[in-house]
Amino acid sequence: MKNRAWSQFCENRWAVAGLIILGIIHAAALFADFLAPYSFSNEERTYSYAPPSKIHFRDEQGSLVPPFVYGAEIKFDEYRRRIYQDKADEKYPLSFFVQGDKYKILGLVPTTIHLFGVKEPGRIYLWGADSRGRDLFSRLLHGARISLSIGILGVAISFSIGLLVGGIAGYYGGKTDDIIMRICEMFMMFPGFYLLLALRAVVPPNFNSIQVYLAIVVILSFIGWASLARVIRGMCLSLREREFVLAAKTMGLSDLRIIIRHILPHTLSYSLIAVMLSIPGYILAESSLSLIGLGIQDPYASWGNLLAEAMGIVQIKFAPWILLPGFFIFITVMCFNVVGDALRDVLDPKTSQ
Amino acid sequence: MLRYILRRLLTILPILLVMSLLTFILMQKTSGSFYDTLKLNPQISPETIERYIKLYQLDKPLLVQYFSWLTNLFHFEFGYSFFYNIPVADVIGGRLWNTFVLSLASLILTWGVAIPLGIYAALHRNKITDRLIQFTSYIALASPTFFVAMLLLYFASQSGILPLGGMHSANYDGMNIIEKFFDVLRHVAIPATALSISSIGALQRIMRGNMLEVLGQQYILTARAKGLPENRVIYSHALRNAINPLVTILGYEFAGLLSGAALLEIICSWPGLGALMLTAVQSKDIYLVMASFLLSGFLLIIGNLLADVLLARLDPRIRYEK
Amino acid sequence: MQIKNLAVSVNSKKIVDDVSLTVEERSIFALVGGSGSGKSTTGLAVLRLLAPGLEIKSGEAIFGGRDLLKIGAEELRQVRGKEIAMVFQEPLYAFNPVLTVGQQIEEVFTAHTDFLGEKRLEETLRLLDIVGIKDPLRVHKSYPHQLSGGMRQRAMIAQAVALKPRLIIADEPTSSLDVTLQARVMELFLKLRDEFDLSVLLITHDLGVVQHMADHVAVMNNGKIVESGSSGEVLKNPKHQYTRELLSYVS
Repeated sequence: MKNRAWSQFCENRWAVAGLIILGIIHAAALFADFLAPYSFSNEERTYSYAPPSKIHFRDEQGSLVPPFVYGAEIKFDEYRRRIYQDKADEKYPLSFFVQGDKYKILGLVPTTIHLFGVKEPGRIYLWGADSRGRDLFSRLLHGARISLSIGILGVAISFSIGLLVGGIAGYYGGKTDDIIMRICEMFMMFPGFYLLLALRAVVPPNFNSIQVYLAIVVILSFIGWASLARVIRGMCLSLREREFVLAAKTMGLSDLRIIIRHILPHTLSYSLIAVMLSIPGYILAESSLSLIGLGIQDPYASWGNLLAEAMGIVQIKFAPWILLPGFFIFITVMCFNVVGDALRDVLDPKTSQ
Repeated sequence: MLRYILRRLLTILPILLVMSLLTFILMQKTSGSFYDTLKLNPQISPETIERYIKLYQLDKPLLVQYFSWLTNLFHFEFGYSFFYNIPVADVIGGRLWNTFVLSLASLILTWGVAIPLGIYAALHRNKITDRLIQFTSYIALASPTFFVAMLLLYFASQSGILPLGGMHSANYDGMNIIEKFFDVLRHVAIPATALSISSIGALQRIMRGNMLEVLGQQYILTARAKGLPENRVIYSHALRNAINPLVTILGYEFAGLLSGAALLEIICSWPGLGALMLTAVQSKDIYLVMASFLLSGFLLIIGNLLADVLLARLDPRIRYEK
Repeated sequence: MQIKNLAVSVNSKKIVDDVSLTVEERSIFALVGGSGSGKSTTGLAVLRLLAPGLEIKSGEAIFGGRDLLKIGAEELRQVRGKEIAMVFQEPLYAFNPVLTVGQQIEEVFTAHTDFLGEKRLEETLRLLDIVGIKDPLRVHKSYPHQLSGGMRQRAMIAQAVALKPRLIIADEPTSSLDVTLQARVMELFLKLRDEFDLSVLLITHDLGVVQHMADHVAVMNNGKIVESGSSGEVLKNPKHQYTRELLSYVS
């Protein structure tokens, strides 16, 4: 049964592509400090809005040489804007497994080795720099960590709550069910973004970055659990009448055990689909919050606060690469949608169109 | 019908109360006592301070404060905004209207584009045009509204056709009514488009699905067997049945619409309730936060109710009285 | 009406194969078969109302000197509802749920005549009266779900005879009704045949109904006609094994 679903899933080429892209993005986030040539806070203000570095494979004579980048000569135009030009006499060869900023692999092993980089004082900006001369490529990778993990953590927490609460409401029914559903309605009575702002307003201003990060996760899960609980409750209402529940009861299992071990597993395929389709919502919520300055704070990077730099029209005109975080949000959301839809087609054919 | 509406409004009242109490207490606890803030603000005249301390019993315990705030709500006294230095009601009224204008514009755009597209796609099922529409919709569906808005703002700045934010031009006050209408229309174009893009994708897909399902129904066969012209079969028999379920969705959509509108108000500096809420949150303007928040919930409820009423009008099978 | 060598296929698999039959004027012709025998498909194919995917491969349906399978769309539309009308099995689904019964019957006049509103209303009420509805005005204003099954089927028949068609194709018109209602609706068909001079192509699985009503009968199985003749003869002396099987369910 599982295998059949899997092979059916694999027939959908879009879904497989989506899954692979998601895999790559998540792996890149996991190994961000190794893949990125710089740390997220490594800044060089003289390189404000430096354009993407060109990697050259041929020297002036046109013969093939190991890849290198030119150093930059910075001039100012009449509006005091920086103009970057290659310095023909300054070449920085691109090398692999180089020394750089300190970090810990997966938070465990301390090291300074980065996948690639150039020797100081040369700098490599694969996808350009931001206003403070920080490498956008590195910040995007580090930002992926925060944006993706908030999505996954938020979903994990709100789904645990939603499953348990929905299971309890559906299993017991009656008064318990009534009260729980009223509470759910309370959360769904407000437009999500206003609720988000209101909850953000009660977060104490003196929180540090990690506390803010956790607060955002908590807020997002707090908003998200209600809608899932309602659906799970509906499923449990019908499941509790089934024979296997009766059998478990006669065996004298505790209610909580019946709910967790015997009822909730039956909602698994629905939950899996719902997880896939709701992660984008969490990623977007975090991005929105960071975009308007209430989320992750500088110097920490998330896709949302990276995109905040692109709120100014002048900046987009002269440094269009600062729009890249937006494309990453778009691609990720798209992949989750594609995979989620494909999962629904495979696991729950009756609800798909 | 009227009884149904009243009953609905009555059941949500306790929810609004609990929610307001929670925010009230939490905000007071975290952002410092309101009393102190008021006293320490040199910009507010002593008379005003005196008036509000009396009005809200700010020197009494928190619960007393809450209830005096609550009773004042019924006199349309929403509290005092520190940030704007005027009563909250004066700030909020116009903002509510602006949010309504933006949401309505987006709603009209979404339905106006998505419904015809969905019908067209269903009638040309699996042809190349249908596939193109489905592909575009899928992309639209995944486009974050804020990103679309930023791209639109950028293109607008390049072409100079549309204003880059706000709701009115500088010379708005000197315009006649028609000029005013078009001025607002030009300003609403970018936020409304950004807000609509992904909803169009979603609604189009649902409309197409409904239409295909309805076209397979027996009464469509009957209509054709009666010798009705194909136009009439589609537009008077199929369409109404395909649209009715969408009205239910409309009710759910209001939450997303208001949320999306709030975000776009902030990005496109549209002076609506959402943008106001942000300033209120940033400046810890507690009464303003409370009022905006509760009003957003109220808007959502009204929207849902309207959708229910509309559905009952459209579908003779639905009756709310039991 | 005459059907000659009709063949319908789905995904190149034939579900109606070489069907020929003739419905005489003022007669009731029963097309009998189990579910999936292709009898309903035959009925729908005559008016080219087949669902997408089903394809008429060959054959003719001669009616009033024309081949219905070849005429243009507009000409076909003029035939539908005006000269050949259809009655379906489940009137709850055959009526549009969001329009009143009256509106739907009046549509037939809108599509084929230039009657004005008042005249349409008058005619509709007269029709409802003819099919034995006691309170035509109420039914006219009612939505399909507000009527009983028998009433709905009567209204559906009223809709079919609105323009005095020469042929009615009735697809299992009684199977969704209970037994007493079945008999009444069948009587109504007989009455209407005499009153309006029409012929009926009755598609059914129920040989009991055939016994009482039909002049001719054709038995279909797996898309083919296995036996046909006058109903008295076929029912008395069934030659084909399948007919005998069907007969064994009646009694």
